[in-house]
Amino acid sequence: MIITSNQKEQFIVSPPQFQLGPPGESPFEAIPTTSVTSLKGSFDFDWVDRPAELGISKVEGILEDIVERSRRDAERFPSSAQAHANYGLALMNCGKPNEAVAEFATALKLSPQHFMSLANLARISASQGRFDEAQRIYEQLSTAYPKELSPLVNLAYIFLRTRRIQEATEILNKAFQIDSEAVFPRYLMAISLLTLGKSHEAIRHLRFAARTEVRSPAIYQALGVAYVMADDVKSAVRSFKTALTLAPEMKDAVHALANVLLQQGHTNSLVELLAAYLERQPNDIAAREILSDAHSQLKQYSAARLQLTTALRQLQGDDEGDRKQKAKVLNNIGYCFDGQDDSETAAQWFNRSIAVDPTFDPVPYHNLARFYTRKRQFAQAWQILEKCTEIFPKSHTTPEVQAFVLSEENRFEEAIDLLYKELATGNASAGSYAELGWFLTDVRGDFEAAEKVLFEGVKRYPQFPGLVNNLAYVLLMHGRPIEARRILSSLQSTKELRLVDSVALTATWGLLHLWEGDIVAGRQYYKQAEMMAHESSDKNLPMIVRQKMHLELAKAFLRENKIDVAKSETLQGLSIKGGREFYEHDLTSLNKQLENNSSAH
Amino acid sequence: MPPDPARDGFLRLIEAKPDIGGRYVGLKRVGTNGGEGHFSLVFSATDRQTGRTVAIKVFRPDRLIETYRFQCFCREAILLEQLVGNANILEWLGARDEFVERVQSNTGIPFDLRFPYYVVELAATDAAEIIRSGQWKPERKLVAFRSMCKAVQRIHRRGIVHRDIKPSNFLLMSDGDVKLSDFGTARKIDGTESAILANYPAAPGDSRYTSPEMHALLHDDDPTLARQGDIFALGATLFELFSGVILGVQIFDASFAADLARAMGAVQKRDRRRVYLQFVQSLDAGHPLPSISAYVNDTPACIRGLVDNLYKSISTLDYQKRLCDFETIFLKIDQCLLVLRNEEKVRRWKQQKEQYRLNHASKFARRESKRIVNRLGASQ
Repeated sequence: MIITSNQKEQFIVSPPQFQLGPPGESPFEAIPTTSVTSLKGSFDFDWVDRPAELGISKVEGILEDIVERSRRDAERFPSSAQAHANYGLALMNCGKPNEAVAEFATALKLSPQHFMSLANLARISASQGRFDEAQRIYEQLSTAYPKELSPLVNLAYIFLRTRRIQEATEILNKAFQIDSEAVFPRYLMAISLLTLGKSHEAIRHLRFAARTEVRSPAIYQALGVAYVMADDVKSAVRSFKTALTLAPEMKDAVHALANVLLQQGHTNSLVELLAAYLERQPNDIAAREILSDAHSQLKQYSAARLQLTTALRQLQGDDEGDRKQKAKVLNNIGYCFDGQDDSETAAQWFNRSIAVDPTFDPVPYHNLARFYTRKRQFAQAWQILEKCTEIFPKSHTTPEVQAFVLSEENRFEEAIDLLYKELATGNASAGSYAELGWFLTDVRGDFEAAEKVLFEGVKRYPQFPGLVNNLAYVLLMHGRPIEARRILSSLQSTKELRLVDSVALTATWGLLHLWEGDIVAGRQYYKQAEMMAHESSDKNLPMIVRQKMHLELAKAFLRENKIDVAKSETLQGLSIKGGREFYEHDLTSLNKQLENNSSAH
Repeated sequence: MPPDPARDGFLRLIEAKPDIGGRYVGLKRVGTNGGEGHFSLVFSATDRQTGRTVAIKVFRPDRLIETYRFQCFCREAILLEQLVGNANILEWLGARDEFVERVQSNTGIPFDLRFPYYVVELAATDAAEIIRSGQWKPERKLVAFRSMCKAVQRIHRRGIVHRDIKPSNFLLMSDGDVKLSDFGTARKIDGTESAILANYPAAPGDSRYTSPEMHALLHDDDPTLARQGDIFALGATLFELFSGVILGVQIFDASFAADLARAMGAVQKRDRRRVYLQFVQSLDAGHPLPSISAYVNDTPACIRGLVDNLYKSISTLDYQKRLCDFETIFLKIDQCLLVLRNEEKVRRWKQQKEQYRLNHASKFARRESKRIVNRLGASQ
């Protein structure tokens, strides 16, 4: 069975992010947190430079007091380089890097190779993105202090940051010669290997580090992320759990474990984990969002909404980041209302999401357009989509929704033209390929063109279930079961599938069995698909599946020349109300053909 | 110190006096500013009765209107008097008294200035200065730290908490003894004395040595928590002795401040501890203490780990996990001293151990290869 447009509203889920914090032992490391984002089979690395978050009135006074007392110390001991370095450090921590630089310079006048002053100067340079200067200072430090590990480790970080992986690896090997058991070089080596996709080697280094530093939650957290990248989920879960045993409130480990559980579909365990965690850490908005995602996957929309509204209350800032997060939460609340069949309220939330930050994401516009389309208010839907294309001219998901609206208006040819244009940009989404494949197959009946489009799509998105399914379907329509089986078997994981996709895939497997001559298995697959379809919010889906089953069974029996059984199947198919128009048309033609055949006999 | 004409005036006025109370003569300011205190001036003088050189701590008359500070000054004298006879505590040598000086205002009107004072023994220098000059060798640092711990243990036993433990409050006497001084922020926590103020806007003492729970003002509700605060500050002192860096300056960055602010989020005083305990674990886990070995210093490799372990266990950010048992602390200090004094022996012992391991490994390998050869021979 072919997968048609995604007519469901969308829940905006940020791609799973895993944070790797450095083991945090040495005070001179300029190494910030690494963020690893899982993007459909690949991993994106980023260094997260956390800006100084001052302005907290209660502690501001403490910071100022620390600076003032350190200043007095520097005055009391004017010839002590260490006193000036301490004052510089206080200024640096207070968010005054320029004044800190001046103080470190004073310390260096008193003692030209003062380690702490040089190391912190380099740290400031690195944090300000002046990597050349930082590199120069670290090189100076490693020459002056050849037995010290910190300059080498930081130098390696600078190389990693500036994408000179080879040089970073060489420096880290030097660091291993100084201290083979040191944790920081192992950690950085693991990061560099992970960026190269060598997760197993990275795991080796991290496990070595974990043996040396048995109580470091950061190491176990990094190990967990490496296991995720190596696709060893079981070990990843174990590592995250160890990190949480060592530091029960470690936010990054809780998020990472929750993300893994969510990806694995262990939503109940996830709900248990996060519910307990949020009792203790009620202000963790990210955890609330993951929990709401889990609840929505379990169709517990009220519970999901509760988490989202709590998060919304906690989002009090008004900077760009806060507005974007608010817009996301508002859209997702709308999604929950839609899940509870309250699409009118859902539309209000989508509107609020757009109002809070119109530039956040095309998804709230798409959701709203789908709402109007379902209500047959096409003018409003087009208005929303126009606004969306104005704000997001480069969005490659909007044409998919536009094509969906056109198809609902029965303007299929225009939809096909639109999608062909989108494909010509070279950046079309997987959904666009799948949708065009559907139109070409079911509407135009042009299997050759559909096959060409879908082959191109599968080449670009080999693990997109909609595409794989539709291509297999088209191949079966051409009577090529061997190729269809190869394509269907190439789909590695079916764990993260939407229900509609699962239904279609199961039905296509059924069709494949019918083409392979195994009618019993084929019927079983279709029956299973129909049962799954009952779970869907689309009430017509079970009928469509049953209708398609009768159509394909009739064709299969016809191939075996069992005219009477085939006829009975077509009649059963035609008796179904609420199926798909094209299938009804096919069933009618087949029925006519069968009747002609029987009269000829 | 920024220019303070009033302070200079008082210093000159007192130095010009022939004596205080007819007993203390030869008054001379300590250092260039008469000490580092904002509210008091310190002078050295000779006690006519004993012939001993003493220190006289005088409260600045222009600060008498700051009642809280003056009460602290008085309390310091009372506590020092109560602690007489305890080793490692600055010795109180004379009753609290005051002298009056008649001065002329700018408009020429004469008026009296009241100078409260008390007398203590005179120190040669303080530990902060020693740290900055880098005079102490590791062994001396450990011995001095033992005395510092002893001093804090003694006052805790007497039901007193200091609340401003830091290197500059440990004075070094001319005979090499290390003594705890500056009891201005100290108070009794045995229930015999209430706090001067019911609510404090900030933690007492130097913020750079203040423990997180003291920053969160948990001691307002439970004064005994200040004991753990003193221990934290002792750990910070040990860290500074070996690294030269002030622990509070090192760890108190923006991210630490943000996490601490969350832990200090309670609006109501009664909710402080509950909210603090919600966040303290993540504060502790998210901000590992720096290792002494990360700083370039003269600490011998043989004791780096031990000193690190000691300071980290007594300066743990979570006060519930902090090592507060002085006997264990002394044991750990003694262990460091033992290893340090027997460095050569320890090195040789480690070498022998490693050699034994290697020999054992090669013996095992030889035996194993023999076994394989024998087995191969038998099968042929």
